[in-house]
Amino acid sequence: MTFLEIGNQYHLELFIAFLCGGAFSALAACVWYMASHQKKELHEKPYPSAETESQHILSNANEEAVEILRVATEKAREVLQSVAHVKEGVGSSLTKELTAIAEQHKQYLQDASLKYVETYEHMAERAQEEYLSTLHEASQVMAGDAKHTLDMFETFLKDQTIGYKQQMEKKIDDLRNKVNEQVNEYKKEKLKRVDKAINEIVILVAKIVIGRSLNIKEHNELVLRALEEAKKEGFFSHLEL
Amino acid sequence: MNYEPIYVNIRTTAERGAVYAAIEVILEALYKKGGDIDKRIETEMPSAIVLPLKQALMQLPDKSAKTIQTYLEGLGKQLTILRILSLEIAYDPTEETIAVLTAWIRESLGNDIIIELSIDRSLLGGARISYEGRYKETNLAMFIEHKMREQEIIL
Repeated sequence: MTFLEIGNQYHLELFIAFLCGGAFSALAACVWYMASHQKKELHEKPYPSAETESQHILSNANEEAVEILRVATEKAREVLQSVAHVKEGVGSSLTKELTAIAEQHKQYLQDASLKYVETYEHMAERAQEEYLSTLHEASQVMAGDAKHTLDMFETFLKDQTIGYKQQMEKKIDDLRNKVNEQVNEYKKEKLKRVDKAINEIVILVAKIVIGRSLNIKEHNELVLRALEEAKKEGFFSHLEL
Repeated sequence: MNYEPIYVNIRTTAERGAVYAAIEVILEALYKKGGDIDKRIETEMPSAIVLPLKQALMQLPDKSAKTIQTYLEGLGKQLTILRILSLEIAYDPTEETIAVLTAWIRESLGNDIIIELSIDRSLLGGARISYEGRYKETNLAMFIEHKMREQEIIL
């Protein structure tokens, strides 16, 4: 049972209850009117026998009321029957309508789901294609980037290598110059020492040779020369004449 | 008394020592009988002193032993106060060496200076001079070395 069917059924029962209520209200109003009319007639007319008359009136009223109730009940039954028929017809038609609508909706949903599946598949294919394409492009871009990066790295390495090479060459040159300077310095120092040693030997030899080769006259001249030098330097200043 | 004519002829400490010794001998002979003073002078004194001493004695006021003794003792004292110039040389000095040096000293420094000579062969040449605490060395070894150093600097 669908929600619409339940709603329709409740509305129908309320409608029937409303109709029954209306019939009972109308019946009660008739009874009350007739009773009050009889009462007025009793008051207005002279009473042959009040009690009898009243009983007669009440009896008539009861009979009329019973009749009215019977007719109302009959009419109500008829109404209820017709309502039941209507309800049955309405329920049947509603069921049919609802079934048709449900079928329509089912069909629509089937169509929609099929369409959705198709669309989904199509989108999936497109997405896959786009994904593959993007992946391909990305891989190409990455490959390009990687190549570019590798090229840059290669260039960087070359530059660095050249820089290091130049630095090393400069350092080697500096070291070579320094070593050459040290060698030259060492050479100079050694040559100086050799020269000094040679000079010492020459001086020694000269002393010995010259000393031995001097004659007395030359010796005397040297002594006089020493004295003259001393005199010039003021060695005998306190002795001189 | 003037002793200069005598001590001017004394050139070295060795000669002064010889004069001292001669004075002693002469003084001993003064009071001996038969002592010939002139002969003693000739035999004992260095030859360079003989003549100046004889001339000095002749100029004395008298020829008494006492006067001669006084003169000789005065000479001895005079010799002790002669100034000494020490020279170390590299060779054995000859007469020529002493004469040359004395001539230079007399001319340049004065007559009251005598030479004390000694030998140090390591000097090779030149002299090591000292006098009253002063000292100077100008020898051939230094001279050669100085010249060689000059040549070394020039080179």
